[in-house]
Amino acid sequence: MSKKILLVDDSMTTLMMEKMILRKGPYDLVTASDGEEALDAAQRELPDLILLDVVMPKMDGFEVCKRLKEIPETKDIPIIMVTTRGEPEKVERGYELGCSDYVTKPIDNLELMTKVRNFVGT
Amino acid sequence: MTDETRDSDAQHSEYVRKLVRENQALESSKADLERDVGRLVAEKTALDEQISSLRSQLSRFENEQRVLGEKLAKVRAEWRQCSSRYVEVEEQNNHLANLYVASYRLHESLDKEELLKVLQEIIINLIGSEEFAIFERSPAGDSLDLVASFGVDQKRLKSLDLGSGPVAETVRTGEMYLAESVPDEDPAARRDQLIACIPLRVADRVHGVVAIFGLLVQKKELEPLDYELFDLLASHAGASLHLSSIAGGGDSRG
Repeated sequence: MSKKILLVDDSMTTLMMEKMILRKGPYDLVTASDGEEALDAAQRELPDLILLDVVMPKMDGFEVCKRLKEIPETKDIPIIMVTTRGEPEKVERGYELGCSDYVTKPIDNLELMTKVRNFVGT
Repeated sequence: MTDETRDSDAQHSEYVRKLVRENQALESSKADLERDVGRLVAEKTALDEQISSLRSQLSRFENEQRVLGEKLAKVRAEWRQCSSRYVEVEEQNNHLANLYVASYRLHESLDKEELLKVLQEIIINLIGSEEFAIFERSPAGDSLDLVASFGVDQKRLKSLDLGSGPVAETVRTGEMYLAESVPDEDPAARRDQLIACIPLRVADRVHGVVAIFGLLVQKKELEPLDYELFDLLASHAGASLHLSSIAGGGDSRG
């Protein structure tokens, strides 16, 4: 059974890029374009992994991560934060809120695939 | 024969019998020892043969080990070559994926606002800059009007005269401007320092430019993929922007 990955980003460009990279793996990809949609999709789809953009309108990725960790059904889903900001304090904040790993933009396909495989396998 | 003589003969006889017994015992021991020696010599011969056989086995194993070592080294070299080729192929895939996504997105809509949003997304997410400005040439063609920006002072860049400098040069020649090095990481310290200026061309005319002033903190320099994306923006974004202006009923500047 293929693993399900939820991709969350308000940028269609990034979602397309992530889909093109991850399509090479045996993954079932689900997308959400804002924080609220991500919370709904996570509870409905119960994915094996979430790729979560940090900078989004209305609800940013940090808040989405915090809320997902408070919901019993989603609290154990690993989250990889996708950020344009590679500053240590931003990364640290993500880890404090319970994210499992992070990748920086522009996304490198090998880095993303490696990190995704670490959590859901090939 | 006196008693004395008889005693002496008896003692002598006893002595001789004792000597004979001891001699027999020694003969027996000698025979035992000779048997032992024979057995040991046979064992030594067998062991010598075993040693010789083991030495030849050892030599064969050493030879096989050497051959296997050579094969292993060859396989490792091939593996390294394959890994390096895999990374190269993945890099090319990455380039193509980026170019495909950028191209697809640029041609997705004829709505100018949507197109400018796409252009910004490409610059932020694929190139990796959050300090840039997108200009269109004014109807008169003598200045550039700011149409979209991110992370820069909009008031200051609202309009640029095409006097001199890299932006004006880009508009005049249609050639991309690339700074020799990426300036300081601190935005305050590199105010107005251009990293790249990309002409947005429609055929041979420059319709506008994208001016990039800074890269994301984790991105230290422009990479080969960025130049390919710049080329793509120069040709496709210019045409799309021009078409969106026409489709929107606005002026088709440039």
